[in-house]
Amino acid sequence: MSRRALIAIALVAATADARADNWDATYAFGANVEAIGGEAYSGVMMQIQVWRRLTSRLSLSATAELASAKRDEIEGGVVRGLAGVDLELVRGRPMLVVPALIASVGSGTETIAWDRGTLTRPMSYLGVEYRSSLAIEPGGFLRNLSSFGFRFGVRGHVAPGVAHATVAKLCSACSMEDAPDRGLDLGFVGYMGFVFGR
Amino acid sequence: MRIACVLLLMTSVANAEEAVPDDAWEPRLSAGVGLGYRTGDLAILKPAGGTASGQVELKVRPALFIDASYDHARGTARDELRARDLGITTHTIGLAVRNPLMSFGAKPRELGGEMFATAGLAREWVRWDGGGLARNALMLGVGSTLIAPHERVHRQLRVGFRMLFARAPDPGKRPAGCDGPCDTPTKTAPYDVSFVMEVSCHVGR
Repeated sequence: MSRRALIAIALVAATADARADNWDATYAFGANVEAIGGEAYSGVMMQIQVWRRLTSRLSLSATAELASAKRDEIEGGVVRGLAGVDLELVRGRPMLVVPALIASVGSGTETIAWDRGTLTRPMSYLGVEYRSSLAIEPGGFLRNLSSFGFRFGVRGHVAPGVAHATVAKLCSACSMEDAPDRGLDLGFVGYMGFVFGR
Repeated sequence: MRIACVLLLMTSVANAEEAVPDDAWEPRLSAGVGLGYRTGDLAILKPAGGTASGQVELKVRPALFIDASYDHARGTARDELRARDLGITTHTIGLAVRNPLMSFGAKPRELGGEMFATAGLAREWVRWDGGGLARNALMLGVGSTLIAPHERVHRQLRVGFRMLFARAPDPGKRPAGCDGPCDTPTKTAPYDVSFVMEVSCHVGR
């Protein structure tokens, strides 16, 4: 993350009023589309995310994802571990639920396991999502929960391309040859899920 | 004035009834048995079959439990090259923590339920016609509990889904390679994933 981004985050964190101080956890399901070695793969995704609210508008998030990547007869399993910051851009007027629009940015790694062979690479992401949460009063019918909500969003990510993609797919012993320009692989996920506030 | 006093007394009694201690909602110790279906990978094989399981659970905090479980799975395994299916049996013992993400219900031991997540470690012993292996696994799961009303005993029906991640065994003479764009050729996917769907009944005090 750039120094400018870190300064901007620090400014927002310093100026925001410290309203809440809680943990939220979420699971979500969605679609995964990404380029691997310049070729498009697609599949489904399951996401578990935990975030810690630092201020009323800023929170830190940790994300674990399992996804599939399929193209013709080739299918792999994708595991991602991501860390980032979430910034609340807009918060609607509190009614029964509190709607909010969130921007998220961060980075991490992904490992793709094929039937044979693996690929591990760093990645960065930028996303936007809608969340709406309903506050749960303590001592009521619902327990172990301070809020319950719904979220959906989209996220784009970028990762280094794969130098030996063509060679690796055609050989069995994988003798590496001249590395072409790696370039960048772009990816996209869309998801929806539930938020459990603690 | 009398009416106001009666109302005040009724309100205070009602409030006293509402203040249920956190500890009363779940049993301190419970045990359960279940049946399920297990499928997944074992290197290049695809085992699938039924499971029978037993579980003991201890409450360490109002919303945190430690589970010890045993799971017996029996089924068959196949791949594209094999002419007939292999018989395969898996014994798994596991130790996990369980946390209710969300619970609902008006009173303890009345109709209610919860959604929960589990995470833990397991050891599994796999036997098939002509071979076998033992390995450790990471276990992650989610599920729902339905609490059946009973005055003295906690009775629960759980429906759960678990995934086990374990290091894949070496599939022998298969050559290392890459079936997709990769930077590390291997003989098979490095990890096997198994999926277990399970329904279980639990009683506790």
